[in-house]
Amino acid sequence: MPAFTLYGSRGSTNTDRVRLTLAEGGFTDYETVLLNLQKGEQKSEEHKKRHPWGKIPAITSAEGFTMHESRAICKYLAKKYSFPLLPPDSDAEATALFDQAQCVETLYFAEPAGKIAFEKFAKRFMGLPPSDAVLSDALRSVEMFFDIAEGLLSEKEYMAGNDFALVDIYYIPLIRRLFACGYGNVVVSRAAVNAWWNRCVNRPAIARLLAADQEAATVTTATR
Amino acid sequence: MVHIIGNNIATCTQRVLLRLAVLGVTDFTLYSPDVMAGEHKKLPHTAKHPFGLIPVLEDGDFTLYESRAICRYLATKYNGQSKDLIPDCKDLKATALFDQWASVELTDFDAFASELVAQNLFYKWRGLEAIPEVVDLVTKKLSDKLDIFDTLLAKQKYMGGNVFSLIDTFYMPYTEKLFEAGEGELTTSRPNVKAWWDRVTVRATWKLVNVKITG
Repeated sequence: MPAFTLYGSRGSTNTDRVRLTLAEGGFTDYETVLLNLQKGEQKSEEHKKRHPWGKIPAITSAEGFTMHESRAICKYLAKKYSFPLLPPDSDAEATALFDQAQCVETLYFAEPAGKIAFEKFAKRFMGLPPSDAVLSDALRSVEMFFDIAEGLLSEKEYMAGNDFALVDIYYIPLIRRLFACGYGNVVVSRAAVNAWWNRCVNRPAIARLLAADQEAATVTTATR
Repeated sequence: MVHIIGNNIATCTQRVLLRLAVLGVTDFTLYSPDVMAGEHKKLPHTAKHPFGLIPVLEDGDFTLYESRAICRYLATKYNGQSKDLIPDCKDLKATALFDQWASVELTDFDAFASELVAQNLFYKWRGLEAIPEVVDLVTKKLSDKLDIFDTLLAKQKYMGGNVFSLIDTFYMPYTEKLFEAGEGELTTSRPNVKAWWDRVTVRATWKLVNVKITG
């Protein structure tokens, strides 16, 4: 029996955060159940027992331990299976700086980037037009974020210090989505950010997973 | 002695002050930058907080920003004095659930509550008009989320489980500000959310920290 089941969906940035973490950790002893969001499977009574807000991802272990929130899941899996992606608990300052970097990612990047992804990507599937006002406001926030990140990444190699860490993985799905929506320039136009980005996505396990996903997406589009 | 840079009427600073109060730590200093004059957007502040925000913690030569990261650092640093619980880092599942509930606060509450408070309160302070479409949208989103919180709080007494914890203190400053912004009904109309709010605000440490703006 696999160690746990990951409930997610195809193309979900939050689910991909967990998948990337597992790929980087070389962990394969799990199964994935893909929910169909357009059919509303994430809002079923059964799924809401795993996630009260009816969202994805969620995991259920073989022993029945259930949790949700992609970043919390990533941290739990990294600790449980000893992926070298977190500072040791005994180092209070390094742990605090990791928490700081995680808050920065969630509040100053993922919040506005998520709005862009919703307007330009998700709304297409719902047959709704994007809101220009929301887009321009969110883009301004993302640009401001990367202006500061450019300075920070000129002094250190990764978002939480000089070692690749879980918090760098957190960025990958939404930055990929920004590229897909035509906003890749926010990364490529900034030298230090661009260098950091290439360091992250050229890591072998991550590169393999992203390439496999790209291929699967092409096949799906071709056969539609 | 830790040094805090922030304003005692600012929600994110209040998170940290509440944490210090709950931990029983009175041995700290507080410097309030002149936010209206933009002091937090310039050097020397931006050398400490590149994003030009408050609060910031300085502990010797260690500098930290992000109120929730500061709260967790303080809870670990003063763990011996803490009367509430932050899970033992060796308890993987308790720590994971703690991270889960901390994430819920950010993505299912703060994202909408902070926007609503900004529109209905902070904008007024700066002499700006709220944007009705934004107010309607975030009010609806926040209402929908609070409906779920109401069912959650029927099963657990506090936001992180059955004991008062750091997680509750993450919610408290903006929940209070919703009242000041004229949106208190979002809390009071939901019986379990209201019961949680009554439970957490009766605590002496909250009364110490809660500073209302007058005038």
